[in-house]
Amino acid sequence: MANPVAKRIEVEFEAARLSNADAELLNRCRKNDQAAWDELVVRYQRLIFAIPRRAGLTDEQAADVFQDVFLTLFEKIDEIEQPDKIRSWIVTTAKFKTWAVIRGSKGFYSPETEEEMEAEMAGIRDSAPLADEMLIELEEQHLIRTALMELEERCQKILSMIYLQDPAASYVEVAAAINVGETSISPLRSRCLKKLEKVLAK
Amino acid sequence: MKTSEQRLEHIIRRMQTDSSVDAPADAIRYAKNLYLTRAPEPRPSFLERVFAVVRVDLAPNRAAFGERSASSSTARQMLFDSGENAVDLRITAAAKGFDIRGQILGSGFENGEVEISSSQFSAKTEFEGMSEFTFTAIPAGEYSLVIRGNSTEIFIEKISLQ
Repeated sequence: MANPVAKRIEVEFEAARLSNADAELLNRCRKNDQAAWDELVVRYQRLIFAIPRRAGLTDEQAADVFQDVFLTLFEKIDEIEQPDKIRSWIVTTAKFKTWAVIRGSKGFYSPETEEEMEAEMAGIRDSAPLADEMLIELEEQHLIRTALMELEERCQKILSMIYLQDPAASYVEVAAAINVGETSISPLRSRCLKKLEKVLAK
Repeated sequence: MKTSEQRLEHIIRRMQTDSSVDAPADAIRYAKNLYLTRAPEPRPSFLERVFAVVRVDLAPNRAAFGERSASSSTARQMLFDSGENAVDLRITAAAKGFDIRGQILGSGFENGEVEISSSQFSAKTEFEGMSEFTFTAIPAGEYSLVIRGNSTEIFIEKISLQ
């Protein structure tokens, strides 16, 4: 019996507002707005580069996949039917192109449809390089980074220094960076986290 | 359904395990530059403005400039010098207001737009090909005329339509 096509797990965040912002950006791109295209590239560059890298490709291979994804997006920009789902489109396209490289095909041949690709991956013992769980993690991290940019600068600094920096900054260092007393950091951190959660939940 | 605390913990875990990095700068540049092949050629943000000076202003029924006296026109003809160009205007009284036919002579105005305006009325039209344009039913008044070409703008400060 053929393996069933895996149902795509969804990200945990509602993030409707972020999706609408994506749709607005895409619509501006369709109206010959170079600045909108640049913003789209900047918004998605980390996610698109992360997918082939996490799948085990070299940086050079990942850069090739990256460029190919944007080329495809550029070519198809007027045909994408649901602009608010551009994030899913990008993740799926990056997954296709990464898989083609992993398959060792010549050039960037990909299966004709997503279903064919999923079926092919399901039939292989180890399709961990592009497991849904990994892609969801990358997508959620992208949403968190995007949502973080909507917070005021102080919150961006606090949360970046504590959670995104490696090694994480101490409360003393954060306090010095934003010019407050060390005892203020904990309540500020909580407030900023709640704001971040709110952006992701809307 | 996750509690708020669980959701926050989930967000924190995601941030702490985020090992993503920026794509290489040249790859980002490549992606941005793709769009250059799509966007239309931008019009220059700066147009050189040239003020036109009236050279000829013939009332109706006088011989039109360049024509034999036997063929007098019902149109008022105005000819303006503007640097390397000239502007030929023919103004006729119509049932409603005035009709204006114009042509830009010389190069640099293969296509563009013309705007006529006063404190109370304005109209805009485009031209291409023979560099000819037409306005109809312009109300009486004192107007300025701006003709925008490829890189030059001709400004006619005052045209009285009475």
